[in-house]
Amino acid sequence: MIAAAALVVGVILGLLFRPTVPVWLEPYLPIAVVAALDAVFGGIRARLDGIFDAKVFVVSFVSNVLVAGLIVFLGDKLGVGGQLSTAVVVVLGIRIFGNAAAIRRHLFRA
Amino acid sequence: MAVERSQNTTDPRRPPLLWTTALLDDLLNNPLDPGYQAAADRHAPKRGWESSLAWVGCLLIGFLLVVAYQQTHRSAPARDAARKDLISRIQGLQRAGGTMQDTAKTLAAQVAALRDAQLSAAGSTMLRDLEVASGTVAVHGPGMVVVLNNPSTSNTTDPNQRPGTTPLQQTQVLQDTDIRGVVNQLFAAGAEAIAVNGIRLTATTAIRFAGEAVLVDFQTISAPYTIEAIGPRDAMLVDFADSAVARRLKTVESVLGISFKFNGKSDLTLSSITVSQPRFAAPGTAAASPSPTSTETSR
Repeated sequence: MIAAAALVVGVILGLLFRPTVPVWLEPYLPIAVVAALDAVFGGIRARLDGIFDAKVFVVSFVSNVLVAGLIVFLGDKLGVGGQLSTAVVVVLGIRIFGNAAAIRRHLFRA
Repeated sequence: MAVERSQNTTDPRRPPLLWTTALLDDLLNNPLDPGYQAAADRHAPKRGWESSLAWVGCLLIGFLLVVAYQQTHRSAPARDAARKDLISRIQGLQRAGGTMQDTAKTLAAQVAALRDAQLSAAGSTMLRDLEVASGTVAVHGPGMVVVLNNPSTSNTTDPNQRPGTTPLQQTQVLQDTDIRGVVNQLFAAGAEAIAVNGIRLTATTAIRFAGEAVLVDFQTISAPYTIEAIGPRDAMLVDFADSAVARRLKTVESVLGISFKFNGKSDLTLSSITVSQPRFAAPGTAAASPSPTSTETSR
């Protein structure tokens, strides 16, 4: 509950401040979004599994965003940025789907 | 079935599948971050700052999501608006330029009419001839038309089909030298008035090349290039068809695929152009030149 409130506050902050993303950061924004969604679904599932841990949640979120960004950055420098960002999206997308399936089982017992 | 298996793999007594070689299997069946399980296994006591940590994490995530949303939905319309604004400004300026040009032509016609009223018939005719040669009045008469166009190859190449992969040398074959060559040849063949894409050539008109565009009288024109010339039609046609310029363009046509056509016209109309009055050049007293038009009107 408190987490959802924090999420809403974050959304409102973003709407209020309307920050401009620097151009060099723009390619990593989609990757960061996917990493963030992965962290959210992982956190919800862990909460439903009864093993939620705030430290793990925050550290996994921050490190996922940074590592995904770093991988894509390295890929950009080596000329395989597009392929590597696809790889990151695929891996994180599979995790999101898996966690969403687990959440569904918890909620609907199906 | 993957779902059923994943229930087994998330069994708390089982170590996370971090060291198996079946990475994909692990990815599909064990999507939860292993850190949660490890933390739960440690049975660490709950600390007070942990809930605020989760709060901050959720705040960050919400912030990130809304920033990404705004970035995606804001930058595209902004770019589009800037482009539309530029286009409308260019069109507005072009319209303004056209209007001013029309005004200048109207005023010039008025000036010419007033002057004709003052001048004698002979002087008026002489002046009219000079005006025809200098391009300040619209003219019509028999002549010929030369049409040049770049090769109609698409700007994609076979291997990847991405636009813009064909070298410019293959799509932009025609340059200022081609048009200048044609114009010079037509003048040499006896043309009295020439217009390129509707822009009348005067003694001060330059045909230049800038980047990928041909400039005539400092106005950008693009292919197809239509060069209209008024003069002795049949003589010009024969002369032009026999010239080195036409032969060269024929060769380029067969080798690089440009389109090159020319034919005679019984009546062509060429628009006038506003020529600025000479401010520095005064008539000299030097020896008479072979043709008065070439000195008087070249200013």
